[in-house]
Amino acid sequence: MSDQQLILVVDDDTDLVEALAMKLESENFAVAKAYDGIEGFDKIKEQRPALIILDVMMPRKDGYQLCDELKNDDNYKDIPIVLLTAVADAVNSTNYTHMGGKTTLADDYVPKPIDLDKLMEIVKDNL
Amino acid sequence: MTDDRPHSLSQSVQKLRLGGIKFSEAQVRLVLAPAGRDPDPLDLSRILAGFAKYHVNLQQISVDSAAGTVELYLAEQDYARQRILIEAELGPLDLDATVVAPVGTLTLFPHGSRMEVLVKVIGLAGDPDLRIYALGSSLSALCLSTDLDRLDRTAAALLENFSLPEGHSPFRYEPSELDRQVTGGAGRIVETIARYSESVIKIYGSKLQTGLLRATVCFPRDYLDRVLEGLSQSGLDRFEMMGAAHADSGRMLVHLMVDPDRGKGAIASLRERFGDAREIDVVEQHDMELLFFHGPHFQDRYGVMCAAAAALAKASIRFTCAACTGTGIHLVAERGVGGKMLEALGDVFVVP
Repeated sequence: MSDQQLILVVDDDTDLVEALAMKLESENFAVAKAYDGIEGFDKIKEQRPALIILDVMMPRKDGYQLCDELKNDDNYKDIPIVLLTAVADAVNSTNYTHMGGKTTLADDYVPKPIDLDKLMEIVKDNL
Repeated sequence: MTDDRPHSLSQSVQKLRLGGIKFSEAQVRLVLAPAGRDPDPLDLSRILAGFAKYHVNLQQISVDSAAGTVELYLAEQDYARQRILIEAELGPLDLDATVVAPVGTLTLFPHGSRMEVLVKVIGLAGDPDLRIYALGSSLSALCLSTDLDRLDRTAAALLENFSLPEGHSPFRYEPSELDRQVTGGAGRIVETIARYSESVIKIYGSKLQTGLLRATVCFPRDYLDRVLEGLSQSGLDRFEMMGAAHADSGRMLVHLMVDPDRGKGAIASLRERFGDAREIDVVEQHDMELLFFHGPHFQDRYGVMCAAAAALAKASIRFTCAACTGTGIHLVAERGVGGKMLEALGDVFVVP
């Protein structure tokens, strides 16, 4: 049995999911993929990842919703969540404004466009 | 999920697993070509500037520099709103335009660069009922364009060869709570639509591959099954990028960027299979270079490809073909050009 830690990537940008998966695999992580919040929750129940990389804006169930549900559930609240957010310095360049400074229970966040090396650091720090 | 129902031998064929399928909303397909004149290297940046000027997002773009053709997909609502302005911009360029609407794009993912996936997907183009206009690849996905009302039929045809995970996302976008809050219930937030005014476009990264083989096969659509059989038995198991479209007179054109050694074998295999059949043209271009820029959200942002084309035109750099599919841009060029493209585009794109 593999001793690789499983990282779940949840994002509706399929190209980004693929790029993150390649990067994580190159760092010797196992990767599970989901493309919206509901599918992500199913994968979490099935596979219990060591960490979740979670996009905010997704169909059906957004990242905030999923994060809130997980962090308020005793079964899952200990799984670290890293949010991917298009806020930070991109506020002027998107029509998404982080809901006026909404706070979340996520363990960390990375602004988009993602610095992949920075994300890897954050992943390792949160495991 | 296990299917315990009895099934015939033909139904027991192993299906390939996909992560998902999604449908675009209604789009317009626009094919532009020089009207009875030679292609002008500056046409592309002029065309794209016409759209960028009015903040129109181009959701997919495919460019064949030799023929001078530019195939574009944009949201039907954008076209309806900006059509007169766009036509005024493009009018002086002396172009023939073919407009098809409403069309839709079916995106299936991930392809995993697997030829076996590609062969099964291209196979759909042989079914006239599905009316596949074009196919293209992104880093993770294959995108097929067809008539909007044929998307469901196309997905059903795909699912004869592919399986989806249990609980997969719906094909059509379903708004989240955040969508509803931000739009007041009106639908989907588009993360970056028409709001970028950056002098430098932030991207996730770029990748330059050199020494690739570009294989182009043009054939009558009746030959599709035989061509695909040839490709699937050629030993070629991966592709780096692909595009396909219907050409004139019922012919189809498929081009692939592949590993040179395996690609040579595949072309030899195709030539052996078809002998001197005049109906099938196989062209191989060696030492080709493939430059890929990765998003984010290029398909939701106006002016990204325009900025790339303008930078390349300014540096007098010619590329063979280009595609903006999914969230990336692929540029194909001859030997030695990839590095120059990368340098010229360094003024436009930055990895934060």
